[in-house]
Amino acid sequence: MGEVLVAGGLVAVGTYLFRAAGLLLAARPGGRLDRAETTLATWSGRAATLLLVSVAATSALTEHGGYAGTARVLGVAVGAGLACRRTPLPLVLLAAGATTALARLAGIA
Amino acid sequence: MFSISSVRSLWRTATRADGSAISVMCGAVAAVGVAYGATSVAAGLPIWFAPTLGLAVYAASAEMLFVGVLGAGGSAWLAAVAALAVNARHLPYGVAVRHLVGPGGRGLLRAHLVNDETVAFGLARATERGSTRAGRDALTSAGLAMLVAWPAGSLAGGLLGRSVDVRSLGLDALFPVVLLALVLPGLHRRRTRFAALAAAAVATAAAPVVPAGLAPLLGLAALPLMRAGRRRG
Repeated sequence: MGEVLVAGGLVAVGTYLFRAAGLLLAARPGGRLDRAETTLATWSGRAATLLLVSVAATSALTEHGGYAGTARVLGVAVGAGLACRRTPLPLVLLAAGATTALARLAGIA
Repeated sequence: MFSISSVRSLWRTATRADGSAISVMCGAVAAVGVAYGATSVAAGLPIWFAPTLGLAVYAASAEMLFVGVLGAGGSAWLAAVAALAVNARHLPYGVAVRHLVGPGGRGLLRAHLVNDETVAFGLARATERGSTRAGRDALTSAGLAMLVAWPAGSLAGGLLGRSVDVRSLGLDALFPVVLLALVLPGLHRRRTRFAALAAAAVATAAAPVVPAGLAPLLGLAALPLMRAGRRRG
């Protein structure tokens, strides 16, 4: 747990430093994003997308290195489908949870 | 927190009354917080952890990534690296809203409120009203409101996750859905979708064979595909 706290603290401090560094960079005379910063912004956005998709996929499909079970996969599929149709997020979450819960109730693992 | 493009359109379509726009956003943020809090507790973290991280980091997707890697059995350091990689985008955000954040001690405090939603909202209001002051007020009020809604939602999720059976209520399905909803608006380009699918495939295939928690990070192997998309339009 101690390790988790230190790591969480690092994320908090690092994130604040990113914010503050942006403010300081902009404060330079004529402060605009230069090439290196634009590149950093682009790549960090791309990395974010891929990391989030990867966590979504592994947490939807796997658990402890094995299959997560059909009930969860069904719920995630329903939620993802609704999200594609721009359904409001609280409704999306409700539908996903209900699908998985009903599937388990029906005896689907 | 959320993808900037989706939030921007949400703010644009919101009514002129800042109060109602902010409460709509807070409702969505709190709902995501419930999923985040329930997942954190299921990952074996204490109930106060998710709300505390929420206050201290205040960038939802990075926090969910952090908890997601821990929940998959990954090391805390691996989780921190992934979260920081995702949060590097706050540097260009800081550049973009410097005039809204303002100078001095208050500026340093207000800097903590800079995230996807507040940047989109603050910039939209500043443009709409032609006033830096209006943009600053919008960024500050939305930022403070969500600074309450996000930890409150995750605390509620933690309490829920502890008191009910997470699996029988289907709460374990919410976490991946939230993450997908966050990235969907950014997947409008075919090349990006292709790279995202490749990342998902690599990560899922790796999950049974690599050390716990490492699999999602391997999805980054698809990064070169994104580059090709950019170059060829």
